[in-house]
Amino acid sequence: MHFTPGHEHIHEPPETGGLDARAKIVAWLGLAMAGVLTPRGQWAVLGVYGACWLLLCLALAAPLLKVLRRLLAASPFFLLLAVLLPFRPLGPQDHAIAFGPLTLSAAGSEQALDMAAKASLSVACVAALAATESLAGITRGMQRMGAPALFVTLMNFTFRYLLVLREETLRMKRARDARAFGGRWLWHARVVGLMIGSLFLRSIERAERVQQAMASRGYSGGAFSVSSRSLSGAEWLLIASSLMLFVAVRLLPL
Amino acid sequence: MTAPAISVKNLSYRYPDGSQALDGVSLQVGRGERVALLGANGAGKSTLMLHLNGLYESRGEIEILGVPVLRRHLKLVRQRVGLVFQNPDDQLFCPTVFEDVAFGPRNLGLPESRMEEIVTHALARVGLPEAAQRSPLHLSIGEKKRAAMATVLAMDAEILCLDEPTAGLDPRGRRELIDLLKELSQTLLVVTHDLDLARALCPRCVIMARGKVVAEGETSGLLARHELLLEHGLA
Repeated sequence: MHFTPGHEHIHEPPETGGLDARAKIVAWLGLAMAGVLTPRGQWAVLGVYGACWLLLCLALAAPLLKVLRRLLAASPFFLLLAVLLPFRPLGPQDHAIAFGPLTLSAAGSEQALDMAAKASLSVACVAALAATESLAGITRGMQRMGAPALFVTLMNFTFRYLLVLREETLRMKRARDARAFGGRWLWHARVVGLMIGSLFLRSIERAERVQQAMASRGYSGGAFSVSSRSLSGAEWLLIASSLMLFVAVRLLPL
Repeated sequence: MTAPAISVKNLSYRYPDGSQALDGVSLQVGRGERVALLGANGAGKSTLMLHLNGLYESRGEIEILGVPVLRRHLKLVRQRVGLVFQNPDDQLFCPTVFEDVAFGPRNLGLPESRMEEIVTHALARVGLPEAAQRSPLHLSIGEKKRAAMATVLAMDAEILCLDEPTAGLDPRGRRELIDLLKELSQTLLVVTHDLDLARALCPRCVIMARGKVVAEGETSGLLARHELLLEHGLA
């Protein structure tokens, strides 16, 4: 019996290849950075970075289909901005292109494509990192890399209790719906407001209890410690080879 | 004579809103004893439990293995008394079970080199040897309860206070938990209103109502007094 039904799909991703999270973080974020720093118009370079992404995915055995699905799910958020750019007024060194009944700005269109490509690459890198390493691994890796411990602790708590809170919300919603509350009209906003309020109070109470549980095990403030561990040869190899590859792509006469 | 595991004398506590949660409670638990603290909701059981390792402070005397619960002894007292909260989601707040079980020992300043051994041992003790790298989110409630037990066993606590350990468990989970508790050699104070649990686990019990201890004695005798249980919301 699961206390938290509906969690089945949030499986802990396996620690692919058993590599330390730090190596993966550097590789994926390095690729995202390399992509973002590519000057506009260098499509070949961006294309090769796309190939690098695929290569890394294969090397780290990332579940490609899952990563692409996540990329697709996130895409409306960053594509929405890009869609508007071609419709901006023409600038000085700009010309119009006809696209069916529409007139588009050439510079704006290029900018839109550039933005879309870089944003897709970055999100794809983050999605792939999330698919090849557990959140616990990522935050632990971040802390080992010197990220502020308070920030890392906050991230862990947020993730840990966001899901608990979601469960609580769902239970409340179910209880509300069980009493035949449609919830589609403006005058129902009061009930929603009450629900949010009670969720807020419950969260404060929970925070209090978690704090008590921490204090009762001797916690007296300060950041959580994390064990240190030195990187293995394979991990250094991943870091060095991926960073060198990203730099080399920029230096090639593409 | 060695000091008892828990000694509470004339403890009173008032909530900030003015309601009297504990009203002159006195209680003794011997070393290695298993005692059930029974009472209806709001009787003050959990409030008493929070006092035992200094989370709440108020008038009255509390001694743990002869050491008064004072601010300067907090570290010692918190190592000796392990509280297991009713909702394991409050107790397991780390991204992995390993981190959660290691949390207490790390706060005690135990060396990182021993952590693996300590955690493995505690998890094996509660029958979850494979759970170290799992997220608490993905444990069943029975597993969560046992992982929460491991977090205090890892601190080598001599006294365990369990708040409603069987709440929310299915019959099998309940039986497994009771079996586990029976095997422990630590002093146990079990806060509950589950009378069957008290019968199965604790030779002695204490009944609280409205912040006072209203009866205490041998479990079988006390729980046979139907009118007593009825009066205090336990039947």
